[in-house]
Amino acid sequence: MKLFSPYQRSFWVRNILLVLVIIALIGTAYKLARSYQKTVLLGQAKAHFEAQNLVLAEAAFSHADAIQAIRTEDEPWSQLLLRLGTVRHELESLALNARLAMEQNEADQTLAAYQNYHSLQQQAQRENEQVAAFFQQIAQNLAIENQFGMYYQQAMKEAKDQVQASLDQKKYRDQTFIHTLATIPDEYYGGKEKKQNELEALFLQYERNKLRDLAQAGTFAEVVGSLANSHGLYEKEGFPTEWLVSLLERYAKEEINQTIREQDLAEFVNRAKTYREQKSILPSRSDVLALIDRQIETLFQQADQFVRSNRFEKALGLYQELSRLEDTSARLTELEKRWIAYDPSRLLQAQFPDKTLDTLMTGVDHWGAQVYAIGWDESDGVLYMAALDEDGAAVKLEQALSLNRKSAIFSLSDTLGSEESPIITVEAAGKERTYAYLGLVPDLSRKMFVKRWDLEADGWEAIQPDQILVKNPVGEGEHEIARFSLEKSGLVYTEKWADYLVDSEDQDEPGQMDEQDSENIQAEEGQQKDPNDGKPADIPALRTYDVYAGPGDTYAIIGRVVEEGYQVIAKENGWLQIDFDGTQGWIRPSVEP
Amino acid sequence: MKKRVGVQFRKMQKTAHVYERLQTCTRCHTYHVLWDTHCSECGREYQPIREVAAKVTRRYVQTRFLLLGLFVLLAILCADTLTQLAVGCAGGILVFVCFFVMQRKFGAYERDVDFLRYMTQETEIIKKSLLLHQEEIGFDVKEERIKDAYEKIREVGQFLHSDTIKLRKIMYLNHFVLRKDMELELESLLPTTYDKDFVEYLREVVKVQPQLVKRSVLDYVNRYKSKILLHENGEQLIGQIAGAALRMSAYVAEYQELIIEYIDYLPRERLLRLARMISRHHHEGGWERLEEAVKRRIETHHSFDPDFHGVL
Ligand SMILES: [Zn+2]
Repeated sequence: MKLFSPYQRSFWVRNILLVLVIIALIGTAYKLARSYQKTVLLGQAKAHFEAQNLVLAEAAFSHADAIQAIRTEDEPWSQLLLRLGTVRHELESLALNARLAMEQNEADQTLAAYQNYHSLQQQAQRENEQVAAFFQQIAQNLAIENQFGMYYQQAMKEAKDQVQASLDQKKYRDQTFIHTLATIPDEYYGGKEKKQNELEALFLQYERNKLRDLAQAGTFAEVVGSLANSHGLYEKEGFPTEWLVSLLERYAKEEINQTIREQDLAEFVNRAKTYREQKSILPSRSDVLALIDRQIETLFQQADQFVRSNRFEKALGLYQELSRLEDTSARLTELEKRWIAYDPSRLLQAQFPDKTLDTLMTGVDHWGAQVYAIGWDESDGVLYMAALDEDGAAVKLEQALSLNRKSAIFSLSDTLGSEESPIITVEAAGKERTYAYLGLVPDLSRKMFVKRWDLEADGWEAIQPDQILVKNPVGEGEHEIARFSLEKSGLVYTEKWADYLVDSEDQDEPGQMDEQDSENIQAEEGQQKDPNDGKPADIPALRTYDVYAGPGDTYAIIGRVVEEGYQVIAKENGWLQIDFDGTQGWIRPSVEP
Repeated sequence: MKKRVGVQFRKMQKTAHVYERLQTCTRCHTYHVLWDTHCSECGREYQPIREVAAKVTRRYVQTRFLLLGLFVLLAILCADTLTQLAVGCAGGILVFVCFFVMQRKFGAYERDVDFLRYMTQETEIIKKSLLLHQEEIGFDVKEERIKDAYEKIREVGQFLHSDTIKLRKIMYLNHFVLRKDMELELESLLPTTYDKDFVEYLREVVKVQPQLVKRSVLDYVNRYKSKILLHENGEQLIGQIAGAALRMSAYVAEYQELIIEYIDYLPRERLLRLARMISRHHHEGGWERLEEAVKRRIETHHSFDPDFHGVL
């Protein structure tokens, strides 16, 4: 059995088709109606076009063009109208954007719209007369220029009011008017040149007042910073800034010159530094920068002068100030070198900054050190040494010594040891004998003092670089004047040189006995001896003075001189500059006991 | 013989073509050949098949017009320019007019062709509907509604000519008392072979409506006379048939032999008619043997009957 009879089948086929036809019919009717409408509109557009009424022609044409039902042939007049259509669309959207921007007070967007408007206008004018005329008409209908005019006049007024208000209230925080005024197109000032002049005058007045007020209340840095900030604002707007720079230069010159006149170094450096930071906005031949450079040069010369006259502290002070402006590291290094050479005890200060040490001795070219200083801290019984080794590197040594601290006397033996590696001898009050003797040699590479000997005796005398006579030593050679030789391992008893006669009365006067002994030795050996050396207990006949590195007791002690054993070079505040071992030293004869 | 009942058959509709008797329910897609006017399934009115076919044809035509319209409309819708649009419209109207004229001219032929095709397509469905009718008849018989059954099978028989139908009709007819005023059939009931019931029916029909005896019936009796003779009063039946054949001189000439053979069983009134016919036709050739037989019969049995005097 068939599903559908022919009767039913034909019924459905026909009805479905009928529905389709009805749909198609509706579509066709719509299309025909729209086509007719388009034709009519095109006819109107053409009529208007021929009557030279472009606005109406374009309106009709754009309506017709919006009808997609049918396509029409492009003709010259319709192409022109099509172009006019895009002009109108552009203008309409521009007007919309501009209005929105104005309502929201977006200066940049308004300016963009304004510029866009003018570029469109120029484009239209370049194209042909009809397009230009049409453009003008539409722009007029949309009141674009009016809107811009009102907006910009209002903006200009507000900005100028703002300037005036700032000046009146002496408040210069809000400078948005710069941007506002700069973005207002030339035409509202009456031309590019007029805008330039008007704004320059206005800004100059503003900045001048601002500078005056700020200079009264603020620091140099604040004033310069504020001007630089303004400079940035002007520059961002593409506005010329020479006037502002010259304002800045004039102000800075005055201020910096003042510090120079007042010899206020710290303030000079501050201002110079501040000013130099604005170098990018300054002219390449900035007077002020030149002034700063000249002053810095002068200051350096002054510092160099200080160095040459060994007034290192002053030079250092200057250099340190100037280091904020210029690279003074080379000069500082040189200064340090010369200073150390002049006063090696600085090494000790540098290496042991938290110690106040008595400088025992300084010197050069010993133990592989270029220069060295050895100091003694009686309170903790530690021997300190600071040196520059052959490579110029700083080395420090410290070693605790177990001996009677109060009585310890250090000296550099010029007999024992070699020329390059002399032995430091220490003499202190002994326990079993009158004295305790210690022989030390600094070893820079191992950073320690090598103890060569440690013995107690009633006296001693170095007779050769490796031969020592010891009176009544503890241990071997007791009750003798014994001869010891200095071996690698230390002092080694060699032989009895003479009997040592103990005088009980003279027990407390080892010096006397020493002298006697040494006289005996001298007599017996016939050796030439310096009376000071090897007889540390000798009481000097003349007064001795400590020789300082500089005029003041804060300077390191670099040695001693005996009364009238020096030549005076200069005087300063009771200090005498003297010739001392080929360099200069300072002594204070009046204070010395 | 069974007891016959007297009935009044409903009047049969007369139609020029058999198909005009076919009705259809357009909803159920069934066919009906009886006298019902509304579908027993859905209650919808039956429609004559010719009308339905014409409707279908009309719809085909409409469909074609719609299709054409659709194409034209699509062409217009697809038109890109005004020129194309105008061409589309003009072409569409032209094609439409042409089509319309053609339809006017050849629409009638199309209707006939379509009807034929329709019938061919629907043959199976029609057969099925007829089969349903037969089932209905079977049910009627079971319920002893023989008259309804006959009336129905009489209609169905218009479409089906099988012996089965004929024999069933005869079976049903043999239940009724036949009358002169009845709308009876005979020729349409002739089975292809000998049938006893048919002969019995023939006997009854000849009694009331001898005019139904036509050439085909005469041929049938002639062919199976030996078997008919076996029936009770078979000779009398054949004599009656022969008498019925006397209605037309053409039959008389054609079935001379049968008449001569059963002249003895001709009723008197029939014999008289035959004698008169012969007297009217004796100048024509071929009637001699019949004339002789009639003369002999008159002489032997009706020589004193004044009605026969002077006839031959
Ligand atoms: Zn139905």
